Amino acid sequence: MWRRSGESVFGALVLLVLVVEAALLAFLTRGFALRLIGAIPSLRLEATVSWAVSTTALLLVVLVVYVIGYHHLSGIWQRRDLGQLQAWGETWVKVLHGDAPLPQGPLSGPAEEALLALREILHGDEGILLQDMLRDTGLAADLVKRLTSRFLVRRLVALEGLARARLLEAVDPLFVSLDGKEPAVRLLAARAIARTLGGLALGEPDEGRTLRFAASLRRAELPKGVVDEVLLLLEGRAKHLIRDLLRDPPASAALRRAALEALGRLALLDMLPIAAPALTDSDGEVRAAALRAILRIGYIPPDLLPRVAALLRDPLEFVRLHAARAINLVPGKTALDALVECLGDSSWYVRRSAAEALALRGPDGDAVLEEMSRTHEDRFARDMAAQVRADARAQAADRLSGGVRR
Amino acid sequence: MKAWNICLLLFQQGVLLYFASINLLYAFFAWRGLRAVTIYTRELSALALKDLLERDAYKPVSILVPAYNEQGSIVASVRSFLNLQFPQFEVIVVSDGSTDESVSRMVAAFALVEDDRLVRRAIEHRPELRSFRSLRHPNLTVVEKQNGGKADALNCALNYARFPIVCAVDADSMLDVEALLRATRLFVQDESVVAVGGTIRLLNGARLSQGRVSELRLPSRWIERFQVLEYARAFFTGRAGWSAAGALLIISGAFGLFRRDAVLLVGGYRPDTVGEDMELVMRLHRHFRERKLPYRVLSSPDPICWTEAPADMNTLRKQRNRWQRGLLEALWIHRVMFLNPRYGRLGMIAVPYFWIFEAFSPVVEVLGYVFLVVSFLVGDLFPEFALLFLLLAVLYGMLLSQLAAGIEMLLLSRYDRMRDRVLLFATGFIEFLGYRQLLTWERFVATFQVRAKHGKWGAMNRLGIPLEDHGTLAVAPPKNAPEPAPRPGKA
Amino acid sequence: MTSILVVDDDPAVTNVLKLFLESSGYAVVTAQGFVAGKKALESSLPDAIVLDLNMPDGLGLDLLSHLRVQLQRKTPVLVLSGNRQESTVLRALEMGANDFVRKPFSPREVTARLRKLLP
Repeated sequence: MWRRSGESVFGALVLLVLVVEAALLAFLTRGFALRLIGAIPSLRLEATVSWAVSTTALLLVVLVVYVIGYHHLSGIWQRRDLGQLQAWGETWVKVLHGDAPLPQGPLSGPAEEALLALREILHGDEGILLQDMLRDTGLAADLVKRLTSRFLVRRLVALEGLARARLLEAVDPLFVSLDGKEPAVRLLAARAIARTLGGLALGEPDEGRTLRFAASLRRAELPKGVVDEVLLLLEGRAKHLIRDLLRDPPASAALRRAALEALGRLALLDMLPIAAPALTDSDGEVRAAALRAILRIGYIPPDLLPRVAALLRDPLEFVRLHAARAINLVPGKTALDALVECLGDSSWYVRRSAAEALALRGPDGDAVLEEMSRTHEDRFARDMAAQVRADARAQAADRLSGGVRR
Repeated sequence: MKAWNICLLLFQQGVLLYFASINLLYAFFAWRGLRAVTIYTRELSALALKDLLERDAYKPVSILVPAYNEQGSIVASVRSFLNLQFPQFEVIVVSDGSTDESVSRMVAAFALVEDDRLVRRAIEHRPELRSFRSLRHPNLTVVEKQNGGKADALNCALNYARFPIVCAVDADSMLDVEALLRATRLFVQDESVVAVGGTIRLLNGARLSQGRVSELRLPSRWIERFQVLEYARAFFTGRAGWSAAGALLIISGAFGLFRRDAVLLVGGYRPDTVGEDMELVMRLHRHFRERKLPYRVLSSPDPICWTEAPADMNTLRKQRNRWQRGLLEALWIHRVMFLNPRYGRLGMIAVPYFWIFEAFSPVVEVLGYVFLVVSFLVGDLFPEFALLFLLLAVLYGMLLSQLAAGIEMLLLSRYDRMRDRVLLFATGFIEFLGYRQLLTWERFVATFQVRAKHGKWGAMNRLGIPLEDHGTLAVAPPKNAPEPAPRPGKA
Repeated sequence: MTSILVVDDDPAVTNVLKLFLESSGYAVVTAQGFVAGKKALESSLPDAIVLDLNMPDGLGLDLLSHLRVQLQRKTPVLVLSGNRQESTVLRALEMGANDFVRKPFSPREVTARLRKLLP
């Protein structure tokens, strides 16, 4: 979306403008004040103002020349880079297939980009060959070296390169970056590590790096959303991290919520028992996250059922809401009764949740809704039951008539 | 020196220092914003977006579209919203008592049927008359309600919204294909984000292809070209900088995303002001700061919204009149924040800045011109000064425009033709030959109309977005409508 | 010679598949993106198609449904996608795809699976 080069020079120019203008403002203010108390003659002040005018005009000229120059050059560079990128893309594929010799490093910008683009999409034998190509051309070592560059932007670009390269030997230097000060660096490092470890085949040994990652994440103070991402990127290996984040001593609430969310998204059914303590956690958001995980997986293990049922009376509205949806996973009359009770909840959202859950239970649920719309002692419950039932029937009729295109 | 001369000199100097300060501040924002963008683009790369999309890690969005008498463009607009590339979203169009064929055209185009949906009235608003859903697009809802103004229509849409993120747009906003993905990404990454503003750019003059902007060209009318620069200055320097400083006060009504629960928490939009977009953001700031809860309000450079800017002076003036009144109304409503340390950087820096350098800049500018004229009339006392001052002010303005244009040039999607680039530079100068003065006068007048026109919108002319692409936008202004009670218009 | 159409917006993918499939004896036509893919579908009759799902200018599933429903063709389709959601796989298969391979992929695996789909 933004051009990759030219920001720093322009940034320097903007800084120059800023500094010069600040200086001019200071001189002008001083000049005005002196003139006002009569300390300097009018001509002197006029000279100062004239200087201000010419300096500003000069700045403007410099800026315009730069803008027009950059515009012209960047257009040329863009076209040239595009052409080179295409050419290198084809070259690398030939090298991969054995039809061409391996070019020697150091590689140009488009060459690096094309090689990384190729590495990104392939795995298996070709993936291994590409890793070798990355090492043999020296690009792998270069990327790791750039991790310690003085310039923040170079480090960020190198981190993204390593995320695409997915080289196991780069993980250790990446751990160092993860402990760094800049939040952007930590974020990209976490992502790069996760992508690398996640790309390993399940049987492949990672020499304890996944566990080390868990420890680093606990320290790293990343936003919850980033941890969510990291867990998703880890794919099969996320299990170890999730287990670690949910065990004692417990990690922060945000990390536990991220772990629970990933547990649900990755549909890790066999790990549900580990989520059990979260159902009675002191933090309401963690309890809700545990319920959401159960919902995503679509199954409540029998020994967790009492805890889920208890959450139907949780003091927090959003917990009760999720509990109502979760209890719907259980067939049978007990669940039905529980939902009926939720129909009379004080919160509109919980009532709706319960009614929608009943509507999803088929003819039994529909019969109950119909009955509740007449006989429930709570007026709001009666209204909700009637409305949701009518809605559900309208939608069912639609589906039957094939009115929905997508 | 005589007392009168001292006064004159003082005022002239004051005006000049005032504009020099504005310029300095904007240059500062440009620098800060640019730095933030540099880091941000590396943080959120195409790779990261692709990863997220492939793993369904996004938050679903409800797009809220308030509309009033938009029959010429509403169908094309809604269609462009429905075609957005986003895994899960819904579009809620609220016709705020439209008296034209907006609703009937939508009924025909989208196979709408009346629907009696269950909705919780979390926020009060003027009653609905009918609500529809689409047989063809299950994620489209249309609501027809009694006229109550743009804020009122947005509140109605809020009630109907089902998803955790809401995106308030204008009926003629055209969102960039990836805009939603890039904007919601910020909510996904950080739970404390409550509002995100995108960048608004001009659709005028652009070539469209398959409903997307394929080439940017400077529009043919000078009045539109001036606006290209104005938007560039506002978004590439102003917003970016304030956002980087954590003190963003404005998120444009043409494209703003909010966490639905946060908006409901503070009570939705305020229907009695024309600056409802700014007022909501300020209210959000106050709510969280007063309770010392962690939160963030951001402006992001890359979710882009294309909007059709007014192409005739009348509509433009009414728009600017409304913007100025909106600004003053919002600032006044939240005047408690002024120089109040309880609100941190916002109260001590941002709010005073907006009072001094945005709200009252038309007054200062007009006074500046007045004193310029007076200087000449009074005699040959300080004509050289006056001229130099004027020259300096003009140069400042041009410098600022070039900074903004320079940042725009860094975008991949930019005005690519060299002649457009040169023309933009010329525009920065020609602005000062009347355009700027006219709008300053309009804003000046508006400052004194705040009381009288409280909460009122004006009639707008609209260029129609054609249903099919003919390469450029069609030009067919509809007739002027009379000016009744408050109703929504373009932002 | 058997012809294969590869539809993907990523030139790396089309480059790799073109070379590997051609060296296995197929004639390969590539289309960068949805629009190009649609045009290619309408103007030619490939014996098999490799289709990406997430393209910036249109969804692969839309192209698939266009092929199966509007064009009424039974050409074997192998869907190639980075999407990790099980529901996406199921949807693709429901809409008429014959096979599904995840990205990152092995070009030899794709070749082998294509060979199975072709007579």
